[in-house]
Amino acid sequence: MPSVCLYFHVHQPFRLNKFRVLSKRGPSLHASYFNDELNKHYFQKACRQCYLPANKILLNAVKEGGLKASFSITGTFVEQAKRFAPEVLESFKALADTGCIEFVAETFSHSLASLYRDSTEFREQVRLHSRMLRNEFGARPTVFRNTEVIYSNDVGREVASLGFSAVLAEGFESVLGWRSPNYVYRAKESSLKILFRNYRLSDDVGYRFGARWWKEWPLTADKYAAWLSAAEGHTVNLFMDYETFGEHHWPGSGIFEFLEHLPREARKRGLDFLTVSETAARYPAVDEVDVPFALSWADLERDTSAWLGNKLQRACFAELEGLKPLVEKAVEASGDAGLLDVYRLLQTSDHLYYLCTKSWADGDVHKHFSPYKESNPYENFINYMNILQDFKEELKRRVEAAGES
Amino acid sequence: MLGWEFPPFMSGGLATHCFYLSRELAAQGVEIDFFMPKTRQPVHVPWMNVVQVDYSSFNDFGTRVEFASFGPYYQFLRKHEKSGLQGECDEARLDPVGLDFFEAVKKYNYLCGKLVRLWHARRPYDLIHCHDWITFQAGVEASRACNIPLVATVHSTEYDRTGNLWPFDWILGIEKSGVAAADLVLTVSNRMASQLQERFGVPKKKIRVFYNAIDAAPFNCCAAREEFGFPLDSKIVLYNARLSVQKGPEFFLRAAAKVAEKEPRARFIVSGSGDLLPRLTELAVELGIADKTKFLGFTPFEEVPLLYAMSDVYVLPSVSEPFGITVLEAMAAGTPVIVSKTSGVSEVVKHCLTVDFWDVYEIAEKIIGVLNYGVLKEEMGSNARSEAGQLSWDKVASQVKWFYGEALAGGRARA
Repeated sequence: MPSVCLYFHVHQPFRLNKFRVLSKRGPSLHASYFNDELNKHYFQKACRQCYLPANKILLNAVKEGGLKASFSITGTFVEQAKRFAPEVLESFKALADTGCIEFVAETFSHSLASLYRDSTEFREQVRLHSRMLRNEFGARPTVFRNTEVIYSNDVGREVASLGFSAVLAEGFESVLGWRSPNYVYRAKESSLKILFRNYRLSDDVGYRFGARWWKEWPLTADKYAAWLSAAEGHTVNLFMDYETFGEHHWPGSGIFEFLEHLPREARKRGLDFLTVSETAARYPAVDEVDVPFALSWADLERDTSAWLGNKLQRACFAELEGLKPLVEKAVEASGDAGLLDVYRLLQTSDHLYYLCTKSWADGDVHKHFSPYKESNPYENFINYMNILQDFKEELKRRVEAAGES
Repeated sequence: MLGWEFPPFMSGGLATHCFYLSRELAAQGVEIDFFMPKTRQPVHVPWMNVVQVDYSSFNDFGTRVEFASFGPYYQFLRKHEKSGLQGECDEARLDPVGLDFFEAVKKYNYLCGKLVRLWHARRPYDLIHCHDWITFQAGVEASRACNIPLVATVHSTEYDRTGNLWPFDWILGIEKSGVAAADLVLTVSNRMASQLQERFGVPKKKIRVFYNAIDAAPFNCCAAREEFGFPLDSKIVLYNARLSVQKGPEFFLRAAAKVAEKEPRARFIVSGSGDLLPRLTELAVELGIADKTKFLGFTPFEEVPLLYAMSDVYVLPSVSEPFGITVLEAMAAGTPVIVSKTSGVSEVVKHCLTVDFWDVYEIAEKIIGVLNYGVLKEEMGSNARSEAGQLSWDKVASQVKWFYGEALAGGRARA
């Protein structure tokens, strides 16, 4: 019987303000670029609907015994929690204190920095995030998950050189071929272990749980635990957004009851829960997997096209990547480290996600998650690019001002 | 089918619609006689019989129809080309008898109604399809006289054309009785359908919605922008619609002024004719953009594709736009579009930018966005092209043919 590796991703972006080029910008960059009213609204809503009730259920399950789970929590989430809902941070700390929860490393602001040609920014963001985990939760992460589970040989090399022992990836056939995701693998020419997401079993909960068209609907904890115990291999890796509970599936769908009963049903069948690092440590790597192109867990393509699929997205991405030297110069010239913070928040991949124009089926999902209900990808592009250009001008001004004095 | 204008005699979307719809219906096996006013040169198309109505039309039937002081139509059409349907009479252009536009409509409808009946007696029609108020009276009369179903398409209402400001009761009356008498009312967007329900009390089950389409081929062209005489590095913002309250040209100019402040290379083209022309030229001076704005007058059918090809962005800030075929034209040409939210076309296309027509700041913001970021034009243009390519007239014709079937079935059930 395999063990079960539960992993949840917790993230909220700093949503952008409507930025007008015809009116003069206020003095605060953060207030001009980010819409904290909107952020507060979404954050508090997500706390009520998802984080607080789900944390409570997990905490009880851990105390009952047997449950272990892993979390990745982005820096942008923690910053917003401090501002808008400190109680949610406390409830994650309470989970951390049980010792049954493991924290996973990633980029601080949920960025695509791993895809930049120069790895400096990526490495800085990962260090920043690890430092945050240590300060907030006393955690020392040894497993890495990249933004949107983006993984390739190149990412693997960087991650290994940062000292991580394992990394998460999408268990997609394009790289696994006939091989099952239910084993631990090894990165190409490296000892870095890879845990592949079992996307069928993960999406049964994350995506299909509330779907009445699905022949397995309604999914009960009992039935699901039976599927898990019947799975072959060493481990079933269930990776999903934490917002699955209460946001993607509303409480009326029975998702919280499912979460509550799953650990008990699993225990009845003798299933064992392991955290990501325990899974990587317990099982030997059975094979090496070559991932020449970036793989992610998004959309049907499982590639980076959700963020870099069209010219608008690539233009903004190039802009972001190119800003780095100017940001450094401006920080040095003005001594204002806040510029770096703004730069990081602008890199959150969600901003690029809302510029997606691809196939309408996927596009619907993008729209579903978009906080900018009234606008389309083109409008979002104009707004985002306006902000990036304004930021660039500001950086140049800072550098020039320092040069003059 | 009863119409008012047909290429090359045209002032707006109605002619385009009748041209393509009739062509594709004919291709799908529908036999059509198309009735329209007499024009200077006869209209001929290979796919249907075009009956051009005036006194001589009755000669074949050995009858004479008396209607005092009925003159040739081309004068109205010429006037109509110049100043649009709402145009005030240009005295110099009127024929010596001094007919005005409304008089002409009355007479056309009177004669057309009688003539359809005569043709029907010779070779019976299955149904009558009329377009807009301008043909409704003839349609209603002929369908009664021949006892065959009436299908009426509403492309716009008097409320739309006047921007809801001063609707003309006489026209509203014709529209109301026309849609009441019709067995089936076709219209071009959901917002029009709800307008017909709310304002004319048309029952929902009698209304069918279809969206206009585009023949994309002519719009796949290149054009040299030097032809406007603007500097080579200029960025061109286009308005191409009648200069009437309905289309919001004032909002265009006001937004243009804001764009000019921020983007000195921007130049503005106003293509179209209409009663607001004098007011708009004054406004351009007032706003200080007269040197950057060109008023082209009415652009003929065949030159329109060049206009889009030369422009960087097309703006249609209509106050009330039942559909907006020009949006599809610009999209087919790969030119980014900014269109008001109150337009039918925005129900069916996604690859465009939408605005509130009164929000000149926002219109300007979006224009600047498109002008500043070339990549937006590339991405939007290619997506818009393929989206417009999906909207073909043969699909519209199959829908309309289906609606004909419904009207006929309804007519039989009634009989």
